[in-house]
Amino acid sequence: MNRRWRHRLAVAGLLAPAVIVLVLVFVLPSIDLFRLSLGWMDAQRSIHSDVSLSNYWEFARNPYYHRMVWGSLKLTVWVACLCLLLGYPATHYMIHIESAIYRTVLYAIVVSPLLISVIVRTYGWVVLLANNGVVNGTLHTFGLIDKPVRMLGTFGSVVIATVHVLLPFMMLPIASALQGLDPALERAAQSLGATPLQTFWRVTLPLSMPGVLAGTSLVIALTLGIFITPLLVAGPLQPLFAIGIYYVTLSQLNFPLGAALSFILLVFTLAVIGLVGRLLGAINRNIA
Amino acid sequence: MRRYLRPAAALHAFSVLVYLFLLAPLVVVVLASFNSADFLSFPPRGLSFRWYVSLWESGVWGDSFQLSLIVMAVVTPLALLIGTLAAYALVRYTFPGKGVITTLIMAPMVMPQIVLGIALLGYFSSLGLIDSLVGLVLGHVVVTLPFTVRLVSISVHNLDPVLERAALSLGATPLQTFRKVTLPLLRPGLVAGAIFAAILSFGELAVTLLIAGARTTTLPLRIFNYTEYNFDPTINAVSTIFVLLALVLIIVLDRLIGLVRIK
Amino acid sequence: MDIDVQLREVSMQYGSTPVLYGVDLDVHKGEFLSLLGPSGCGKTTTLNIIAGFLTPSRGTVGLAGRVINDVPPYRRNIGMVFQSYALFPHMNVFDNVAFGLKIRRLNPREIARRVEEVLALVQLEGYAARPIRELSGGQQQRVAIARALAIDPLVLLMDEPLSNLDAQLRRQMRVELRRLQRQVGITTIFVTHDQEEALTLSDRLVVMNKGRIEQAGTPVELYRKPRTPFVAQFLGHPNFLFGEVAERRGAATAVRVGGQIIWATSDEPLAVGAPVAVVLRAESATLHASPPPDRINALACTIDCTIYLGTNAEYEVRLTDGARIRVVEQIASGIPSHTDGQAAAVCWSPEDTIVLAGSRESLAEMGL
Repeated sequence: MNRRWRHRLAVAGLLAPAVIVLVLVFVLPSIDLFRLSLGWMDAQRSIHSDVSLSNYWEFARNPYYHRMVWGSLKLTVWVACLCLLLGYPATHYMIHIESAIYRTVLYAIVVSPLLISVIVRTYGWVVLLANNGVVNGTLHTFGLIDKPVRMLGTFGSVVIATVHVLLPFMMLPIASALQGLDPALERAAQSLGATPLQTFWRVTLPLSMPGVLAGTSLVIALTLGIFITPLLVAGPLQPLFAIGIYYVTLSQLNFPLGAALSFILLVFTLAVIGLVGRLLGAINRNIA
Repeated sequence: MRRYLRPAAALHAFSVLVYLFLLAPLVVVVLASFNSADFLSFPPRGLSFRWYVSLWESGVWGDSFQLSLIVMAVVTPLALLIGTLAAYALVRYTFPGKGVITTLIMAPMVMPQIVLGIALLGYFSSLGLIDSLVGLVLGHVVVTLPFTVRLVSISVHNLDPVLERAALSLGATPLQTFRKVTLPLLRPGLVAGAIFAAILSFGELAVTLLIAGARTTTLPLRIFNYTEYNFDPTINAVSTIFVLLALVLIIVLDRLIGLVRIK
Repeated sequence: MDIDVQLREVSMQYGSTPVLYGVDLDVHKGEFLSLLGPSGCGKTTTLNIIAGFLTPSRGTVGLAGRVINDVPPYRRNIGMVFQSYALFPHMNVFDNVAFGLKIRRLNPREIARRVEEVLALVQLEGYAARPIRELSGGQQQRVAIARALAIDPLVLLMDEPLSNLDAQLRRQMRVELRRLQRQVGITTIFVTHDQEEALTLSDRLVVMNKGRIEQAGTPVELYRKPRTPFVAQFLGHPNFLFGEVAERRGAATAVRVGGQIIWATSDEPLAVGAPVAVVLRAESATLHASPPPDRINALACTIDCTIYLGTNAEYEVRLTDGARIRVVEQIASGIPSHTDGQAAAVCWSPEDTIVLAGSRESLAEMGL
């Protein structure tokens, strides 16, 4: 008996620091967030904490928030599709490179952005797309334009910058899936008469689906909550959910409303992840 | 043995473009940091180190740099220690509630950063931790903990428990086993975990934006403020440091533990 | 005689490392040919060149009389069985076997008929609907073979297909494979590092070493008359006696080994005084308590160690000059005739040996 209790104590001891930190700095704040979302702010900017669903009602009613949701969904679809269209071929290409050095370099190009703060990556796009930025400057130098083309502040620039920031999150799961494939499978298909295109369509793509889904779900979840990049590239008036939350909370100081919107975003994101997770599970069951 | 799968020229060109796309903003910023002109221009007007000098001499950038380093120096060992203990328990043992605890630990990664930020904003407000070093450290630890746990878990997973049993059978106490056998063999995961915790803390912005203040302006936060409100080409120099840091770390990770592990 | 596969002066480099040096090979219609050798000898590289997954740096590959160097693998009409089987995990048995047929756009009825036919051939009737993960290793292997045969290829290429099976299953599958190949009559090229496998299965055998063909011939030819020390050593681990040629009388060759003269046979042009290695198979030697007077070769020895194997007894004996020889005796009675420490004489007849050029040093350099 003594041994078993010592064992339990050991496990508890190992987990205690993590659990304590997370409960204090994660669980409690989250609960607090929900409670806060049930409060409301009056016209004099004072916060009341009696329970009401007014914030949630406001979200349901006010077309301003609907525009934000719509904007986020639009962005998500664009970003997810572009990440997939750009990411899959580039990943497939990288995996099939013969030279180990070249492959490592490409892999480093994909991984290193994750080690660079999002602000730097986003700032780079500001430098590129500003009116007096690199793209406009180059176009002007080559005499292709007279006046700078306005790129920052547009939906397009948000898409481009977001795709750039999230592309590694699409490519890495796909790389993992493709690497896990027995290289003999593609050779087998070819030996049976399948052209490289047929091999890809019938063998490689179906077997890499788990990676594709994982990457897509990750990109979708991250796009729904993205705010720093769009904020810097297009300003606080972009109709995006997370920017709306940021604006409501820090500019209007309406914490309860911000909390409610945050909660809605959280639930929505979890729902998306859960759904894709189900899909993944079903697909994995079919692939042994 | 992949010659038969020679990529079509189109795929080749397309992919190269994608990789250039991934590099573009970083390359541009690095180049701009050596530009002697004080406005964005391309091609650069001249080569100069003036922005690095300005960075070196600057009080505010220096303060932010120092602050970020201090936070990183506190957060990394904390996140690594807590994460390693938890990872070991989660991989080695089964116990009721294991699933719940795993979900709890991974949750900060799954939650949208803005939501986490807002939650901490409200909570820290009531505790007076806004614009405080303690608040920053706590926030960063929560953000980096899932990563350290996950990275160390991989190493724990790869560590054959037989080795620990062998040590015990030779007379080592559990503590001695942990020190002399387990920890050294966990080195890859520990190194990776430390590096990720450090770099994520150093570059953290989403949560920092909401809980930091004038007295706790970390480096990324200062860049953010400058980008949003005024313009200072010193940002290019600062950003270049981030890029260089990432490059060095990638090489270190690859050399030390083959993190760039594509066959 | 019809030649289905022809390699002429095929050389291959990986980057700057040469892997194959001028390989010439003819594979006859309907024969079972094995490529045998240690890992790294180039046998799998050769197979992949025939399949089209590798392009040789030099030389030509011919299939049914046509040079196919520039033909991609998916147009070569070859059937290939991989070491890992490479069955498509997202398809069941039927879809795996039918894969090549679907690519060729046969009509569904024809496909179904053909799949059934070929599954019956590998004795897996009724398994069509099974998912791959439910199959045992041996069953997966048979599906892999069925899949390759379904498309009625010109040549069947097999890359160490039995390596992943346990020993007993391996032996069973060997017999299966031979029966199958004879029944279908398809030209087969089989890669293996297991000499027992190669000897059992093949009509002809090609031993490769370090990118070159050491010798090609029937199993009996290679076993009885190896032309190089490597081939001799690879098939059966014989004894090597080192010495110099003392005298030649036609094929009979006297060799001075450790101060004594032994007689062997050799077709090689060996000069008197040349350093040679005499290949003596353990099962060709016999032990006698005292040297029999009528034997040409009788060397005095001491028995160091007796290994009892039931039907055989293996003796490690030491000659007067210190050289060690293995002798295998088949004992019908189950009791070894000799014991440790005994003094004895080891005998053999000259026709049971081969003399090859080489010395202890030169063989050691080759890693033997």
